[in-house]
Amino acid sequence: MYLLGNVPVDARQLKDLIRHAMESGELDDPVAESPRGADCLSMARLDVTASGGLPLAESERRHVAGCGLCRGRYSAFGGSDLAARRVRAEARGRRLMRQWSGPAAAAIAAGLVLAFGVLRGVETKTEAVRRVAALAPVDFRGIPVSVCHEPGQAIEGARRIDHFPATAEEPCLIVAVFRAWDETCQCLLWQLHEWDDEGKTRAQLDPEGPLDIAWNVTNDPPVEQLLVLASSRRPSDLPGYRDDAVELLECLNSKEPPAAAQGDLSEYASAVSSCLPSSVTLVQQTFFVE
Amino acid sequence: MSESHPTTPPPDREPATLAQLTTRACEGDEQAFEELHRRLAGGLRRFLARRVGGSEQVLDELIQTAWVEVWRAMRDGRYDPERGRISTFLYAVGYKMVLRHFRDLQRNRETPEPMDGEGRAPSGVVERADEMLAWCESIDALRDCLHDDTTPHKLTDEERAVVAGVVAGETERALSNRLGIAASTVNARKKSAFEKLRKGLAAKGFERDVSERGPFGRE
Repeated sequence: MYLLGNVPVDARQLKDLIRHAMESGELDDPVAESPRGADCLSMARLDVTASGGLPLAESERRHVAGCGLCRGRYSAFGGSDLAARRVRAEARGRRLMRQWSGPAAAAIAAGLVLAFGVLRGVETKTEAVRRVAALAPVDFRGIPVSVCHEPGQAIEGARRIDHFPATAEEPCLIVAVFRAWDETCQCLLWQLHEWDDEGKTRAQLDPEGPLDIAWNVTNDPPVEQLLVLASSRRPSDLPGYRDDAVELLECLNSKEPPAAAQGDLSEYASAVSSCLPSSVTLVQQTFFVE
Repeated sequence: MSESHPTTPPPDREPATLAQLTTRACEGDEQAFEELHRRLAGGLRRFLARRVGGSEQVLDELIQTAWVEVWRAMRDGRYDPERGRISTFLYAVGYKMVLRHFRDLQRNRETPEPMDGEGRAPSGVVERADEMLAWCESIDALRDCLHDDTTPHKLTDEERAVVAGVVAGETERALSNRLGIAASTVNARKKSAFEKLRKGLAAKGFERDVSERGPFGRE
């Protein structure tokens, strides 16, 4: 292991650091944006008025209300001007709409697909491509872990590498289990993410930064897939290498798809839960490859 | 005699470098800060958009908060340009914002900071500035190692391509197909590139340490 300043670096961490170096280098590319106008308020003026709660002059207030750059800065400094508040109020309204419309859409979709699923009972390509409202990550219990989805760029044909940055508020171990499209069986199969060419399936997740889970996906067919992140504080809870994970994969793939398979993907996470010790925390993230 | 615009440099003068602008901005030169903003804002937006996705409004809020954090760090002397390039420091701040954003999402919040109805507290991502600058030093050292052609540990173009693919998540097989070289060669290039980077870092004074860390030891 290496120490870089205060950052210890093993092979994986060195890889992460290289990614940071490459990404930060990309910021140097000169791409001009949001040129500041002659009437724009200075940073110092915005700071004094917004942070100090001092009123803006009428002309300044009009400018801030109409200028995206100044309005954004003013808001970021903590300004509570009416113009800035209006933007936030709209955002809250939209959030509220999303909070209510998301579950409602998911429930309707789940109901419709459940009816098909019960009638057919078998998961086929046609069923799998039915689009279902995406669910937010769900933390079932225990360790505060979260995961997101970043679609990647196409690398060849319909294939691309998507990224799933996982974060944790305390150190833990994780295993990433995908229910992803398998071209051989033309069906959705449980598959384990391997962190290196030696088949390592378990990785350490630290609070210092997200751990990137890269997954090769395809948009043919455009199917909704699922990532379930299993985390634990005990190494013995999770398989360390491909060979240790055979039993877990057999357990997962031997299970019948849940009755509401196409509608409520949280049922899939429950299937994972039944194949792992009860001390394991599960977080799921659905993703749709278009 | 016509007056030139104060923000436009005379045509016979080289534009200021990012380092020069950073020094001036740290001394309180607002025009220099605005020029930094002009040059780096697009890159920051690209990075945050790739990492966060989501709505333009969320993106704008993260971007502006990141810039305000940088400005405050400069104003308060918490950012030391000697310890990190401005682009690296801005990246580090943006990256912390991304982390915070993800954690907020987990708590079913969309905005990066709690709002009390009268405004928002500073995000505080640069509170531990020394740690952040140490991180910036590490990243800058690696940036130098990746691009320095004068070092004995310089990477070949093929090694750079392999490293870029590996960190982007490409498998050795995919890289082999894309670069038109054997998978075993990809593996060899990866190993030699990583070893060169380690040696390059060691040459810059970053020490090797055999200690383990974390409650589980070395994973």
